[in-house]
Amino acid sequence: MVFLNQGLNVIRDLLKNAITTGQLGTNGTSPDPTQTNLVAPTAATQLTVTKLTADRFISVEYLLPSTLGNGIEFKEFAIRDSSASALKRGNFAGITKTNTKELVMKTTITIEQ
Amino acid sequence: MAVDLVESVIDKQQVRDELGDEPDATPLFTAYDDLFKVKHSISRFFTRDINTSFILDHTTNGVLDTSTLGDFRGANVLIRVVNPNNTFRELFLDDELKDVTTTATWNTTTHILTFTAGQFALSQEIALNQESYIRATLTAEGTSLANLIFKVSSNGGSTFNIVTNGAETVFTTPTTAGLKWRIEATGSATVTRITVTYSTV
Repeated sequence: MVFLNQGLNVIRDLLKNAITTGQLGTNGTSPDPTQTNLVAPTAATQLTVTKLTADRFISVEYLLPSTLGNGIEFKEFAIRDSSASALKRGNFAGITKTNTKELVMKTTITIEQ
Repeated sequence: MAVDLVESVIDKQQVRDELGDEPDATPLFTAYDDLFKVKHSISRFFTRDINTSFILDHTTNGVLDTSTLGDFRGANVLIRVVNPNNTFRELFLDDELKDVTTTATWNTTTHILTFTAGQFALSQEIALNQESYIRATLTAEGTSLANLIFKVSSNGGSTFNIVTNGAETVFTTPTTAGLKWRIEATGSATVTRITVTYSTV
């Protein structure tokens, strides 16, 4: 017995519907599954994300506009549900935001056998 | 006490009656593997110049006549690519990481990368985080893999190491320009999954 792809896509849709916002933070420590939030979230960066789906696949796109987060060196990000609980956290080498640029983040989730 | 013993004997007899005789066949139990995994995969960060676009509340681009109504933003410029546990996976669910020069058939409906002799597939950066990646292991799954030559670059595609499927390679000229994979076909083959693990030491 196996999960059919359409069964996996039910799981995909549950996750997709739960995700609402993304947020950046300034702490670059590695993610740990027991964490519940960004280590040092930057409040103004919590913004609605755009979501796309394909077979067993979710793509989440986050846009930080040129007017927000300027002068801050970001090192972590999270995607959140409607109650602002962090569902996924990641870290990266610091990116210092400036007002001449937008910052775009694309992240993916896969549902696999 | 006596009443308890009698009731116990009656209970045992009832259990025997309900269970029936000893079975003369050994039941077989089959374990089904119906696990599924939710995995978070690659995350990519881009910057995009706003150029002269008018943006309300912007300290410099919020002035009409200096800035222009309309969208004059530049293209996305890739600046970071990170993967959980330094492990990249390509399942061909989308073609976001397909380099435009790829000649093999990257099918996001069947989730199969199909080659004929002479074709190749090239990825965009699969890891890019201001780091030099010293080691990488590419593992491919598919059919007729003996017809494929696997390569990995740790300098953004300037040079490639030829690698054995599933074996670690060590880079002698890594830069911070990131990891890419390339597969060249000497005959027909298919690939259904690529995993690349990497490290900076």
